[in-house]
Amino acid sequence: MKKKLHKNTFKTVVTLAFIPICALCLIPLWTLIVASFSTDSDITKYGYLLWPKTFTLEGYSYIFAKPMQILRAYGVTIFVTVVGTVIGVVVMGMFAYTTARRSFRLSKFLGYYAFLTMLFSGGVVPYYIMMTQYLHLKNSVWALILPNLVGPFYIMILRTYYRSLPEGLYEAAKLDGAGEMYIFFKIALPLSVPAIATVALFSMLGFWNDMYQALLFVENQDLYPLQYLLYRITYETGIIQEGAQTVGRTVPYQSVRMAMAMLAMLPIMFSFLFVQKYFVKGITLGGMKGD
Amino acid sequence: MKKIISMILCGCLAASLLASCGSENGGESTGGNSGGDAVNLKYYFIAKTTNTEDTKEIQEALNEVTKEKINATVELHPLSFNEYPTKMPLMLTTGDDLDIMTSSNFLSYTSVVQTNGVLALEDLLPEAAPELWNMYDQERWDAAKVKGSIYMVPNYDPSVSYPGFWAIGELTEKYDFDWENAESWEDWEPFFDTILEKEDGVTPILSDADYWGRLWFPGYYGYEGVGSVKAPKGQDLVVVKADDPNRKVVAAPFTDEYKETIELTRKWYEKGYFLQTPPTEAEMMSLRSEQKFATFAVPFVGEGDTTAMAASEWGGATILQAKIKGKAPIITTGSATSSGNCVAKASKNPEKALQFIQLLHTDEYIHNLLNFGIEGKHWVWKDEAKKVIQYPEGMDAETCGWVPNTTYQFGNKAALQYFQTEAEVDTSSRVEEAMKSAVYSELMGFVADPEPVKNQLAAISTVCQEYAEPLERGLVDPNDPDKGLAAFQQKLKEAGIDEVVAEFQSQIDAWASENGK
Repeated sequence: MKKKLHKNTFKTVVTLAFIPICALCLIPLWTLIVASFSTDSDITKYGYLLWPKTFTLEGYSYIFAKPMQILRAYGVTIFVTVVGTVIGVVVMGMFAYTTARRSFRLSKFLGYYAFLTMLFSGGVVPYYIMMTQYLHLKNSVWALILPNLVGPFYIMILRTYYRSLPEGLYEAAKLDGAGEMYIFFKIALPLSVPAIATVALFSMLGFWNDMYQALLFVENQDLYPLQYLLYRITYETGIIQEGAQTVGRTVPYQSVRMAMAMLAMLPIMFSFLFVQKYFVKGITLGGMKGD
Repeated sequence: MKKIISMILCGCLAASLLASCGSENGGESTGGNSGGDAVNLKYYFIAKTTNTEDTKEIQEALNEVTKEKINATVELHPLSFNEYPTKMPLMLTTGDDLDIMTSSNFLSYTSVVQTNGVLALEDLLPEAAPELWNMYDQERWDAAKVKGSIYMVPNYDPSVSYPGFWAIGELTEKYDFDWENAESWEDWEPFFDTILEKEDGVTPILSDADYWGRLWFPGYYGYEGVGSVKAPKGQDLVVVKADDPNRKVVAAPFTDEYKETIELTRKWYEKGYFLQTPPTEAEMMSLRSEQKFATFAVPFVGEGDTTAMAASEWGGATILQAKIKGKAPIITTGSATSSGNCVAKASKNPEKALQFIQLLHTDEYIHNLLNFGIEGKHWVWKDEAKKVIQYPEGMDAETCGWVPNTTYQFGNKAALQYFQTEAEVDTSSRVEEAMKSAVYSELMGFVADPEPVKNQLAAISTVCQEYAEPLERGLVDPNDPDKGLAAFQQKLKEAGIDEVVAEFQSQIDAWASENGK
């Protein structure tokens, strides 16, 4: 009884100590939300507040002046994120699995092959030539997907995880008459859900936030992903504000930026909640368990 | 399971193949380059708003004319302000498929030439586009020369600027100050004295901690800066008199003009024309919107329209643009090559490309089509006789589907472009008037190479920040033994100003003899 009480006090103390720390983490996010609903002059005059002095939607209405454009960009980003993550996880999972299996002769070579790309790259110009002149991916939605499909670091996480499964498991399955494909999908894959979920989340974030591929390869406005469209709008409001004399009206530059951050952040923030439970497990398991 | 995976993979492959086929077809279907068929030109430029459908319509309208005039079709590729500086150099470096591209502040002429992806035009120009070649003075073509070759057809968008004041019209009227005839800085003194005396809390000249609140502007004395030797936010300090045939390089702080200017600035500071502690930029902006000032000293009183700026930043005051007339306006290399059209090395039809650029400089319809879109859809006449246009009923800059917002970009703005406001009509005639007296700088076409003296330049920049900035803004006494002009000159010498002057002088002399000046 005494012991339990002691434990409870400890818990309370810890909880109390962490509440302000959590609040500290939330405040920046909160000020961002508030700023997105504040007028530009308030932000300039009073800085970031915890409650808007004058509540306004002008930042959002500026962005949503052309709603079709934003919706289409959401569509492109969601398509790229979903398709990219699914294909990417399948490809990386299979690659990592084969390199993790010691009985496979090329496993070492393939492992290094993936690892090398983390150290060396050809640079932007050859990359651009490769993408446009050999793969003809300019102005194609695949230019947004293919370059980010496989990440060597994610492969390493998965590979370490697969290595942590005992080799005997596969042998047993084989004895029972399972083929390689069957072993992968029915045995290795279900056992590696935490690792897969982690990699999927990383890869999803990567696709969601990527803007660079669009900057290089997309010219058609209908193919703009969300982040790129938002970047473009921010950039242009900046230019318009500098040249306010030519346009004849001011642009709520600060609030537009904050509203934009909100729009870009929200969906992916919620997706984090769903994957969260696997998250920590995935990273630590992949990293620590050897055999 | 096997099947599913292989299907997914096949799907990917097929989709990417289809996508690539699609783009290839897109490129060729409009092209066709054999015999008498019209050739296709890909034109890349910067634009703010260009909706896909509007772009198509404008392209069709454009091609009707170009097919007839130069037997070519033009494919429009507007890129946004942010993607242009990233995409264009890559496309030029890798020899991607394009014919014409524009250069402007967003992607400078120097960086375009550095990509090694644009064509030298000096041999082609007189042959393929004689009208264009003869349209402009040789000095303008000289300005576009890099190592002896012309890589760009500069746009013609003259602007004339003098240093001077943006002044609040309500105040000059209240105290009946004849601002239009105030020709020197000193002519403004009585007005400022009146303001100090009668208007409580109003500063005669608004300054801030970073830049504003100085009177030393090299252009006022007819100087052109060389190699930007200055404090990070300051004014050029190594200069050449733009009309000096000997092109003698001088360091401004050693001239009498500089001494007089900083002494005047100090006098004005002590009289209280400036705030004693320069406010931060944000404070300055709010002072500005509350109109707690009478004037704003600026290096570039142009001929632009200030009504919009007045409404957005100056709390609705009337902004007068008062010039302090120095010498005749100078046309410098920088101002003559600030924007233009280049032909890509990858172009298969450089002659046609040049002929299209010629149309941008000579064809009123094409020039305005690209700038403002289609009559009736994107703009309507407000006053056809004066060539003033406006947006159609119920449309503005935000809802119109074609607003490139880059009026300097498509050729000869001065001769061809319609006006967006009544005020611009006036402005343009004043610019034209001023251009008659404008002189070409003797340095037209020269670009300094700071590389050999970059160590000295770094040291000088630090010295300027420490000494020139307070001096030029009246914050310290020019006769102060530690921080005054003499100390500044001494520090400049220690930092190697003489070597910098000598280096630039030898570069200019070499350039002049090479080009037979």
